[in-house]
Amino acid sequence: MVRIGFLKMFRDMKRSLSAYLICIFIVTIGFVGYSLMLVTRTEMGEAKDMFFEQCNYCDGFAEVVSAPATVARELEKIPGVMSVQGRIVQKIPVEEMGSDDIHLKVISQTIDGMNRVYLENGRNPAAGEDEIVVGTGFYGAHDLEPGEKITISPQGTNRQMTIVGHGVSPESMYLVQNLAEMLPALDKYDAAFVDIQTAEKIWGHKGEVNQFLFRMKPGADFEDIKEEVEDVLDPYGVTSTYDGMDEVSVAIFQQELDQMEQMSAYIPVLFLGVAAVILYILLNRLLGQQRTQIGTLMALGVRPRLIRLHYVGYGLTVGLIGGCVGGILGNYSAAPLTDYYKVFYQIPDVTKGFYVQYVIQGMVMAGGFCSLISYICTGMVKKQTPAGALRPEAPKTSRRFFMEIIPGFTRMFTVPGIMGVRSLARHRRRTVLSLCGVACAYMITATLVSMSSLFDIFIFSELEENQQQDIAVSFTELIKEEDALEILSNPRMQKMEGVLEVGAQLKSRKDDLDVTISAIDRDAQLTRLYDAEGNAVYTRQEGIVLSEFMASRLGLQKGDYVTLKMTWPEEKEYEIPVTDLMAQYIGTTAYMSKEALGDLTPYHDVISSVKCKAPEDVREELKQQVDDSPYEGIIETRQEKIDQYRSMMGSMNMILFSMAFLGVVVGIAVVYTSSLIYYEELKREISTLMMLGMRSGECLDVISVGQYLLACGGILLGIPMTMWASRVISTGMASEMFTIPDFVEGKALVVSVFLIFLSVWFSSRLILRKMKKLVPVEMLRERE
Amino acid sequence: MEEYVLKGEGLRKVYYGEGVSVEALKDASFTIYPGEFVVVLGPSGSGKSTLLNMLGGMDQPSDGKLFYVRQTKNGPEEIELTSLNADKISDYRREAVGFVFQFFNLIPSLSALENVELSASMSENPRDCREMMRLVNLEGREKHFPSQLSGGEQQRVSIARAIVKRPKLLLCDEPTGALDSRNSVEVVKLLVKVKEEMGCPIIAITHNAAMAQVADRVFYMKDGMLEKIVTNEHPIPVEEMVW
Repeated sequence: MVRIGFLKMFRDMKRSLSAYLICIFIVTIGFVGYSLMLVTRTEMGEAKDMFFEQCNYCDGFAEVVSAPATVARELEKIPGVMSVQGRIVQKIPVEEMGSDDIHLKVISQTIDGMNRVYLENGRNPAAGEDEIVVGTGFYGAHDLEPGEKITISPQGTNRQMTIVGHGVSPESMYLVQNLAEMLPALDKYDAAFVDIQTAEKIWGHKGEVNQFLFRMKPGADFEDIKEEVEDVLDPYGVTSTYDGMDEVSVAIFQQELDQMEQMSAYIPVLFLGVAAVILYILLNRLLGQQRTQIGTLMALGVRPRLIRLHYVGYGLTVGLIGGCVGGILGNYSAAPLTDYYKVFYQIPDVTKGFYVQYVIQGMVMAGGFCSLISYICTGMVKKQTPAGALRPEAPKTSRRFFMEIIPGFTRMFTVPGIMGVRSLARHRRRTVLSLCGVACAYMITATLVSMSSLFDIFIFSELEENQQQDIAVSFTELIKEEDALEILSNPRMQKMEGVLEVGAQLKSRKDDLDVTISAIDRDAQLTRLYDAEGNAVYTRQEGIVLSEFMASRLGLQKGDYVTLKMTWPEEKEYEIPVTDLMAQYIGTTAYMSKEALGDLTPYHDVISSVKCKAPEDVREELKQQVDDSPYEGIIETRQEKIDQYRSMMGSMNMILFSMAFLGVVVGIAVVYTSSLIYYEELKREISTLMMLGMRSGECLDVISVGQYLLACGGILLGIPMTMWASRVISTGMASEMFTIPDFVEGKALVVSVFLIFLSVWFSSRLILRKMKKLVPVEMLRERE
Repeated sequence: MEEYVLKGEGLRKVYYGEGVSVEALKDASFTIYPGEFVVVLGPSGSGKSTLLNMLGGMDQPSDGKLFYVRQTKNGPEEIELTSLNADKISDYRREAVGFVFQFFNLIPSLSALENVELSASMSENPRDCREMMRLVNLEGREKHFPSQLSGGEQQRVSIARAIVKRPKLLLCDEPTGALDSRNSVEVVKLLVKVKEEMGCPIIAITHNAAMAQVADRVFYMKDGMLEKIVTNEHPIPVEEMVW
């Protein structure tokens, strides 16, 4: 019985092979995405764990202005702490590299201490010697060799260091120069490692450190002891304490992994939805065609439950094959994505493997889902009596299409066209499902096409709407505003605005958030803020402007009060009003007026950067002016920033373009399956038309007119669905660093309309080819 | 207990449509005995198929009772078919009934032999499938699909499929309705042969009076009524049947 059942199923499926293959293909795409994301996430997660273990990455950080290294012993007395290590971290300019504005984050280390460098080549720097291990990104970007010397310039005095190796560390996976920077540029800023004794000499404070690393006892959490740590370090100017996983570089990498996991949940759901529509249409048609066979099987004594199970097998087969092939392909296609992340985040030792569990998960999920759809579809078997099933089905009553009440509607079509329109009305359930299928395909295409233009939105929003400056000069330490403006004064300068950027924590009853506070002029022209509706937003005499994302995370609205926690020069909390909310897609910057911040904190008349409106070629002159001053600064033009974004978003766009292409393929799959089913059903009518003398091209209207109408309906339904999908994606993928805008580009909607109609045209061509092979006499002779 | 296979008492069937009801079978009472060949004769719409569907447990009567006598180790057991649930009715069809349909109703995606095997797989004690193919004179055609067989051949496969599971009664719904006269005679011959070899009662509905000549009894139906039951004292051999 089982063997016969399988034989029947496989032969039935072979007869409608293309339709089943399409369905399998859709399921496969969904599970390629699923396993691709999870395999990459697993490989990167495992590599991260191994990497962190090899570097002996710490559980927590505490940053101070300066403290005796012996304070570590005092910190070790805090319950839950296993060990504490002091270290020196300095941002030091590098000279004579053929380019300006190059800095290294020089980190001290001990051979068996925490947060060691993972050496990719060479050896660790010797104690007390002027030896340095530079970051692999920096090493590669400048084509350095072991034994080569580089000149660093701590406190304005040059010091030659010998390169003894290169490597990476968890803290350098995504290293940015300052809080306002969003993308790493390893040729200009990377980590470097020296021995602690060497670091002391460079810094010039023997026995002093400016950072403590914590290792917690098993089961203890660094978050629970932060306050005690801050109490101990209070006399030494504690600037921040944070969990090891909240370190910027580590947190960004972790966010990437989390997003991959989220994506792995969205993608199969989207594609399974489309597969469900196709499978439902397909099985409904099959059950209609095999009505007599069902009756015969019942007459032979096969229980309806077993017959249902037999037809559930069709869906199960589709699901199992799709899930399995998707899982396998996803495993193999994960390699390039893993390589991309490996290079981007500089993770060493990524072990690639084949993860059978994701293939099995895919098969279980897809098999289960498709079986469920089939089970729902076969509900009619239960209601059917054998005698009823053996009787020919009562012909469906012909109905007028609801749009026929529109005067002149029917005159728009040929007679075969009207037949096509009425066949939509006759099979209402199928029409609704096909409509949903087209709408899903439209939603997938439009959402992905729209996402592929996110880059433009980011750039437009960040660099054209918000940041109006041509050149930004960031000083490595706080500087009096009048001094900065004097240093940068230039006859070609059109406008200058000082900005103070400081790290802070925002707290509410709901949550807390580490942010950058950007203090700007109340009438700032070079930093412009806008709300979600595009209206200008300004900072006030007091209070703070938060991004929509921050407000949502903190559970706040305009007019509410938020706690601003500053840690320097002393830890203090302030209650300030949220004066406005703004749209912000990149970064975690909250804005205050200089007066508002100055009134609360000792940050009076000091700034950290200057935004300049000037021709970009003034950059060199400004560089010289900064070099001639006692201050150090980094100068960046708008174009440099755009190029930086472009290089990062380029690879992302490639992925999104590929997915948009898949959206088109899904569109064709849905429309073609729907056309095929209608064609199979209307074959007799088409044969009759051919017997009457119509050519196949003329008969095609029976199918194509209905499909074009379905496409129109599907698009109308798809537009709000696209809006909804955009909202789901923007909510689900929002992180502290990036907010995906809840925005669908008009161009994406138009392009997708074109692509859906292209799918209908393409499907019609395929149906026409079948129609040309149709022999009307034979068709009309067949009983069923 | 009276020795019979099936007994109907006051069977009635009403079909309901959009605002109308049709009484397809009116108060039919009858008994089917072991080993007899019953032909149900009547024009289209007389209720023949409705009656056959009820006998085969394919449809439930609106009124009346239908009894089946099953032979068990402890002797005959009378079962009221009209009181069984859907699963038990399926079991009845599986164990007791063999069906032969007017349009053969073979599964198109299974070969001739596989169609027979499908039925055999549902029986606890089936006959040999290849032997059945030989019995219906289709040796060498086992691997052919229904679409590769003539109407007569398809009907013979259908008969093989029905008898392979050793049914307790064989129900034939217009078994010659879709065949030419030569094939029709062949099929009737085969049915008589089956009756003689297996001893199970055969009930065949037809609108062709010729088949009545070979039957043991003839049920005449008209307008949903079982008008009369005539016993054929001297059924003629199939070879002498005039089609």
